[in-house]
Amino acid sequence: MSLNADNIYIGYHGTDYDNVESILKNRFRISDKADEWLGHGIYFFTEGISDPIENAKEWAINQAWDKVAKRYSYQKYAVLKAEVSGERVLDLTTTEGLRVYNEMRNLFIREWVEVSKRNLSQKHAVLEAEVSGKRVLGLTMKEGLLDYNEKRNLFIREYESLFDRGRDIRQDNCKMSNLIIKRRKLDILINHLYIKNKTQRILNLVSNAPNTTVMLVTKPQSIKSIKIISSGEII
Amino acid sequence: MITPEQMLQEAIEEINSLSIDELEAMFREAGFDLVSKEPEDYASLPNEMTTAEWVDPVTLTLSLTCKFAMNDEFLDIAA
Repeated sequence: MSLNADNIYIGYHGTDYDNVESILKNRFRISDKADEWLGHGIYFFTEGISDPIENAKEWAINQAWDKVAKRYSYQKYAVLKAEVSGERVLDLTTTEGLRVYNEMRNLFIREWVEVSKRNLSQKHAVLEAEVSGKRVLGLTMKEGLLDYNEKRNLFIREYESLFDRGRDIRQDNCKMSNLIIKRRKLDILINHLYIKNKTQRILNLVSNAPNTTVMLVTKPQSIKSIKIISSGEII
Repeated sequence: MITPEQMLQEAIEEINSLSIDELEAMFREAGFDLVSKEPEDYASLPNEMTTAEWVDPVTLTLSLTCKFAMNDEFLDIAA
């Protein structure tokens, strides 16, 4: 990561050359899909595992490829260099940063489970009240009305479905990062990530070994300067 | 610069200061799935048991103990 005495971080962003004018004029667009790697914000490659300028160039070229049409959707890429200022920075490429991220994550998970258990318990109390009321009145359940056990099982299934193995883990990751970013008012979040290059995309290869270092900037106003440093044709 | 450890201490203090309702609001706003607090499953249940069957004229007050299971129609009548 590039950091000088003024807490300025350097990031590189690869994009369609046609976007450059708009970015220079209107700043970057916030990436806000449900499964963004590190949460919502503006993504840059930064110094770390590999050459961030090459990473940005490769990203721009790979993004141009239209898998359906089997052709490049734009013909010229650009790499932009940004200077970013941040006071509240969490760097997950350090042991300390990763430890703190995980401790915060564990705090939230514990409370998430507690809130869900509380709600489950409240719903169960309502169900108990209903059953108790029926007994007081000497009424019996009629056919077609779900009985106590069925309702209770519905609640339990609802609770269990929160932690269902089939859910999209990338979205969990994004939600958790967004929560930490918001509650701790983070300006910047940095992490090593595995991002497929062209060959790895073609072969659909995944790896647990990160190959790039990525910086997420959460607020456009943290970006102090932007300039284009390279561009070229996509062949 | 705020250190990671300072951030962690802030997080611990904040979580300890939030009520469980505030935590729930925070998680909902953040898009986390939670068990719904209201027994909304009841709304879709077959409603074969009529109001008349539930309201016992002798023990009307006792019937209020069942209010959670009842629909708005019942509450209107009981009131």
